[in-house]
Amino acid sequence: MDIHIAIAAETLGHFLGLTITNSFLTSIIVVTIILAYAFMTGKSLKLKKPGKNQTIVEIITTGLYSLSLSILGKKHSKAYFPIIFSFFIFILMSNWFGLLPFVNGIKYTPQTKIEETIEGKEIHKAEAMHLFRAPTSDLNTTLAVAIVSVFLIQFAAIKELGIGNYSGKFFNFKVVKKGVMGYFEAGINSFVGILELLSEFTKIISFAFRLFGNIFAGEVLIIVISALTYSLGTLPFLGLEIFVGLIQAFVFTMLTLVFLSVSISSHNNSH
Amino acid sequence: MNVEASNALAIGLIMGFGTLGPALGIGLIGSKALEAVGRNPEATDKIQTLMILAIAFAEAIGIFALVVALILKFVA
Repeated sequence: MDIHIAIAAETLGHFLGLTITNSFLTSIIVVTIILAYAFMTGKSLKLKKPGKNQTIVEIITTGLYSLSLSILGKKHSKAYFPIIFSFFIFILMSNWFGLLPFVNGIKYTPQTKIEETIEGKEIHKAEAMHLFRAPTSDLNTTLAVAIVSVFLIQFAAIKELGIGNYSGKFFNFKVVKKGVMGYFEAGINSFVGILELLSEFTKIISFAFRLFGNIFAGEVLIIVISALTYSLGTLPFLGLEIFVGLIQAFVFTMLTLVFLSVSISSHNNSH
Repeated sequence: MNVEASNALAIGLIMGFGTLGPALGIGLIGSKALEAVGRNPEATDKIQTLMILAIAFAEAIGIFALVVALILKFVA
């Protein structure tokens, strides 16, 4: 029973000084597939008689768009829905790509440098590694997506509220005018503000680890189960992982939408 | 107890205790959501999305425990 589990993505090689890991390679493939499908469907859009592809795309898009409408409202949905939908599609496709049969099957042995020379013989030490790996089961990918998502939220808040109102969410000194108690209140406000500023950064960590943990745990589960049982034994777990992949993509989208709607709604109107 | 044994024990304990809280939390969220749907079936869609959101927050704690366990198992 050999179980090969790597918590970090494995390096396949270098290209122009850029390290190519297996999850990076897979994410490029995923993006290419999404782009190709989008162009293919976008070229053959019809108003009267929509084809199969168009119907599928329309069902997914309108489903999420109605969710976005109910959370963000019409004006903001038009501006922010495309990037949020891109998150959804990329994460969903990345999650599901890891469940394809060949992803765990294809092994690749890179050419390595000469490790040691014994009696004139060069000994190459090379370890077989997976050629593909689900992009979201690599912490780097999820961290990148999380950073983009959280910074999108901050930039949207600055754009919608203005820099003054945005920083006023964290540091509010207007109450100082009220006298001695005003100073006390401002002190408490700035402490709460620091905590809120910190919570913006913890959002990145929680976004990244939630996605990474779920998908990576799923992969480990499938590898362990397939080592323990025969091939059909993994079938129920594959079904579970398809569901988990969908839910995680949905949760990421949903949380981005909710945080966005909270951050761009102006805070000061309620006072 | 040597280092390896205590490491293995720590991993087991982390997963055991770390998933206990989120499990209870998700159970509570699910039961309350079902109650709400039972009282007001028209609001099912809204409750469902909110329920999934709340479960995601509760689940994140369990995932943190998992990440710590994975780091102990594969990195340290």
